[in-house]
Amino acid sequence: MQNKLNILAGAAKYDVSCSSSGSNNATPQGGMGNTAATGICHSFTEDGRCVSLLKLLLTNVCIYDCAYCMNRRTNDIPRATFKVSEVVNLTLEFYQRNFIEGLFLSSGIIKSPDYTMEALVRVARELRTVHHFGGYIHLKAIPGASPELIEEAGRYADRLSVNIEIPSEPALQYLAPEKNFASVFQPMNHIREKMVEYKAPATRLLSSSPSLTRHAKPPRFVPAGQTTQMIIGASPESDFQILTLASGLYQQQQLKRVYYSGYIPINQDHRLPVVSAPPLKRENRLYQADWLMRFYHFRHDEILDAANPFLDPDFDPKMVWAMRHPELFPLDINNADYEMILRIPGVGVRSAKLIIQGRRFGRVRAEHLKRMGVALKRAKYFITDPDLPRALQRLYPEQIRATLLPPSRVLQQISFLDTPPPQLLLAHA
Amino acid sequence: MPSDLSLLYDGTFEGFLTTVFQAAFLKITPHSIESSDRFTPNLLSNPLPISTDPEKAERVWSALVQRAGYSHASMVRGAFLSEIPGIEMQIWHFQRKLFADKSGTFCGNVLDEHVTTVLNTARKVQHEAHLHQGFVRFQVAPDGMSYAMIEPTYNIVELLASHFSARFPNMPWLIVDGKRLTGIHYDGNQVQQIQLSEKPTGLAQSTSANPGHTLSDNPYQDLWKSYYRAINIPERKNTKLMLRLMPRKYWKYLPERNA
Repeated sequence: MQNKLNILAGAAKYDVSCSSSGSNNATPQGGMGNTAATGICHSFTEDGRCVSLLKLLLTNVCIYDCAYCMNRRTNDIPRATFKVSEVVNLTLEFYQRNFIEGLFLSSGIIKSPDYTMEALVRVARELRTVHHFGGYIHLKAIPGASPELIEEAGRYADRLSVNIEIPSEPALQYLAPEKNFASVFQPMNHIREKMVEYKAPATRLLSSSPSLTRHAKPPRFVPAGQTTQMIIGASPESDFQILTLASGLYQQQQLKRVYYSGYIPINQDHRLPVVSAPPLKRENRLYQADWLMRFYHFRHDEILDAANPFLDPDFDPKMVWAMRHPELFPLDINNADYEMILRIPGVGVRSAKLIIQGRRFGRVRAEHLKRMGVALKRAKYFITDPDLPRALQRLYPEQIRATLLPPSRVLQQISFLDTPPPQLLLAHA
Repeated sequence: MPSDLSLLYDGTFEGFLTTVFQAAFLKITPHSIESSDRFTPNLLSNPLPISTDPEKAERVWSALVQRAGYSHASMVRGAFLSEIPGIEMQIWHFQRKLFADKSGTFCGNVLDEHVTTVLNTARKVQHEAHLHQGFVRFQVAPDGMSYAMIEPTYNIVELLASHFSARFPNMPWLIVDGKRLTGIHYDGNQVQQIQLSEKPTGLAQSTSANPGHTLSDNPYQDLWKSYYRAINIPERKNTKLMLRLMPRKYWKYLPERNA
């Protein structure tokens, strides 16, 4: 068991999603387990990632040969396969000890997509119907599996995900000859349609006859929505291309989350770039840009454009955006509207709301901002306040840049201009 | 009227609320309000012990709920559980302003320093309680009872009651605060707060106290430890981030970190 667990947890770890959020189930009658809308982290590994779910592959045997994947069929690695009962038992025992929020089950493709999906569904079905398990379940939707199986998976799972992995179609086909965008988008769109379908009758009933719906619980279908993952840096896409794709996924497929996973060289393959370390800074900036789209109402083409296709490694994208728009600042936080306050560097969603709330009671000043959690270190260049030196808001963006960067980085920036950044080199390759 | 009195209470929330009642009754602003076991007298101090009266405490609490609403009243309780030195007077000022306010909007005034102190302190306490929804590690005893030990910075154990009784309704469990020797016990029906006379030895803390000790619950702890090691990605090593998210002070009762 120990050996199997090592192989099949180790093989699942490159799927970065471990979130247990977005779902709010009550504990089933006679069973155990519920879900918390915020999600709960149970531990953190030395790479600083949250451990929330028991993340496993049912098997690491795979018929595909994707260049970037450690489980590709041509790799000579130890292979293992769990029995359904083993995964069910481990999930329940771990859950009872409060090690985990639930299960995240994925798999290599054995025999066929349907055969594999059927096995994943069997685990979820047994947890839900035999053991009345109410904890979090995240399943992979296997591209190419039948719509009926994916629909059944969606009735048991809190979340489904289909990974894009490579953020452009040509690169995906180059690195994973057995895959294409259509095979990824088809299950995604199917899940999206089912989510709409399952939600619709509930609202119709609610408006026509409230007495009926009080007892009839509408059937659930992936209440925590669907997510995907893209590997960053295994192929030459720009950040602008990646954000454009992510933005489309949020709007059209209504994804809950897009995960970005800095490429880690697992396999020796001439199709893959040679890198010494995963591009963690780039990954971090992409997450920040993603946050701006989801919580700060930024459009992807406000963050980057064709002329600026890469995120700035030195500053967070909100800061970069503000420095590119000196015509909008400094802002008077006592008059500005919420949408603009949200765009001030150093102001978060919570503090933006507190500023609006505080204005009903008097003038909001720098001393209040500090207690509201605003990072004045960044905000002070962009707001007018009697307690802040006026000269700060008259600085040119280049001056703010130089003030916020440590002296060593200012020098580096100058020499940096002589050679294009590594991502650009890749993009032209 | 300002006074040089230090009002001493028994450390409980009821005791504190009784003290608020008595200060209002005496029409004084005390110099300080302190738990008697944490009070250190000096030449200038003028201590006055207040004995806890559940009835008076209840009157203050219901007035608080009525004026502030349940969610803000809970924040007052949350801030109190922080046990941060001086938090009692901060809450006292908060309540003084709350009861003097005629508009009924005082709690929303995020420009007021006492409102933000209570809110920010309550948030810190809530955050630690949220962390412990994840960090509690149960060990299952042969009789089916599950035990866990924690040593949180703030006095949050009672804030875990509803979470764990809702999640494990059919499983009796006990969570002990090893530092304060308090705990919550769920018998499969309801949760009760308990007091311990001494730190329990045995299953609940044997992982850290007696690392060599053989436990009946070891197999799943060992599997959990292997799992924890297997999902780490060494190429992404970021110990600083891990320490920020899971500070060392919580490792004592986490089997995956305490070995």
